[in-house]
Parts: sequence; structure tokens; C-alpha cells
Amino acid sequence: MSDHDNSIEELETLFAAARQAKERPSDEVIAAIMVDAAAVQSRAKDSAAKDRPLPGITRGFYTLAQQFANAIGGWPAFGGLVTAGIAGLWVGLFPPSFLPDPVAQYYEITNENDVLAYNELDPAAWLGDEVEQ
Amino acid sequence: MANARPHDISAQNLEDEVLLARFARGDPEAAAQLTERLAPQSFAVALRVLGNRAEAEDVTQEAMMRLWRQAPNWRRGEAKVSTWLYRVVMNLCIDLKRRQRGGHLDLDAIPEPIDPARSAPETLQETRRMGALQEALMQLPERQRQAVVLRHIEELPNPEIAGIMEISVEAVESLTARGKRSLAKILAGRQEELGYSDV
Repeated sequence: MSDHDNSIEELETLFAAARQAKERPSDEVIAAIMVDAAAVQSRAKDSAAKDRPLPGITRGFYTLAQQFANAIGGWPAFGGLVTAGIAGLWVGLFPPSFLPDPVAQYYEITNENDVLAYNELDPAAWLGDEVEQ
Repeated sequence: MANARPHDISAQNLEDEVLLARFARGDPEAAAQLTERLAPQSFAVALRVLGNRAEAEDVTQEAMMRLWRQAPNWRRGEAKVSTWLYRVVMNLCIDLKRRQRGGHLDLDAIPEPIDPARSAPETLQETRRMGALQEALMQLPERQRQAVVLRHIEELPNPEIAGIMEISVEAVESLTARGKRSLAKILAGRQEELGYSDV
């Protein structure tokens, strides 16, 4: 047997031993790989939940709101509209002192004495006075 | 895997693909099984090619991360999971070596030291032999080393190695033949040290 044949044979023996002696990654690395896997699965789950279609009625309302928002210039304009609405309601319920209070006026007119006062008013006499003048 | 027959390999691939699909649906058990099947295989190749345990572990973790990310887009029947993963591992090894060369550090010249204290006396000789093989492998050019590891240690068929390394089957044959000749030459001067003097 030549030296070359010996060397090749020894090499084959070494390869065979290397196949048997395969080393494993450490437990820490295996654990890190599992943590990576869980993180990827968790992100995929979150992403799927975000992409999931809304239930019919919610979707219908959302579509309508979206169309309305688009018509008035997008969601910022929609926000402005809502703010203006709330401000108007606030001024109506709690007006500043220099403005008439609509709530107080409503209660004044439903007061029993005020109703009687209106009933006692005689339009004919009133008009007659004007004609005489 | 190393001694698997063709139908065993195809059965393993089918199982890998099923597990990958289960992983993509969020099954944590599939992740555990894929890790157990594929991480040691990736690590073994990376360790032989890089000759450094810490780097091989980094490459293994990164390769597995890429597999997890690829899972939802995996097209069944197009490629073998293990072949795809071997290719990722090899490319990561090449990238790592390239970066190290950029930093003027050639770890090819620094083989992993052998630690005899880790082995029982009766396996000391075997440890020496494995160390010598690794040192010899590290002296081969990178592509030769990859081809030799895939052919003679992982025992993959040449067409699969060609797919992994993205070269022709003829190029694989040439790389493995030259690599084997070089290894035999390198190890020829160490026969006595390795206990082969009586062969």
C-alpha cells in the first residue's frame, strides 16, 4: 500500500470518527433559539389580529365614518368638527354672563304663572288699541 | 441524517415542511421539534467550517431566526428545508469570515484549541485526531472546506451540495477531490502523533 493510499484511508477513518463525534450547541443557544421562535410567532399573531376583518356592523359604521371624514377633508377635519360640536354644547348649557341662558328661558316659559299670563292676553283688545291709534 | 437513504431524506423533508407549516400557524411544539432536528445539524456544519464554537453558535441562532421568519412564506415542495438551511449557514459563515478579514483578523489561521482536560484518558487520542482534522480543514481554502465538510462529514450527495453552494456538480466534485488531496497531504506528516504509524 502506498503512502498516498495510507493517507486517504486514514482520512476516511477521521471522517468517520468526525461523523460520530458531532457536537451539539449549548443549552443556552437552544433556549435562545426557542425565545426567538416564540417572539416571531407572537409578532405574527399580533399582525394577524390587526389585519383581521371587523365584525359586520362595526365595519359598516367604520366605513360610513371613513366616508364622512373623507368628504369633510380627512380625520383631522373630523376631529375639528367634533371639537366645535362639544364647544357649542358647552356654551349652550353654561353660557357666559353676557349671553341669554336658553335653559333658564325654557324653564321660565313653562312656569305656570307665565302660561296663565300668556292665556290672559286678549289679542283683539290689543289689536283694537292699535287700530284706534 | 448523515446515513439516511433517499426515501428517508424525503420523509424527513416532508416532516420538516409539516412542522414549518405548524410553526407558521403558531404551534410552539413545532418550534421545539424543528429546533431539535435542525439546530444541531446547522451547528455541526458551522463548527467544522468556522472552527470556533462561539461563532458557530451565533451562526446557528441567526440561521434558525431566518428560518422562523421564512416560515409563513415557505413554498412546500420547492426546496428541502435542510438544504435551504445549509445554504443560509454557509452564506453566514462566508459573511462572517469576510467581515473578519475586513478587520484584518484571519481566524483561519487560529484553529480552535484542543482541550484535553475535557476528555477522559481513553478518548484523548480521539480528541487529538479530531483536533488534527479540524486544524487541517482550517488550512483549506474556504470553498474547498465547505465542500469537503458537506460531502465527507455530512455525507450529502453532490447535487445537493451543488444546490447549497450554488455551483455546478462538476465544481463540487473538483472542490472535494482537491480538498481531500490537500487534507491527506497535511495529515501525512502527523501519522505517528495521531496513532496511525502502524497502518
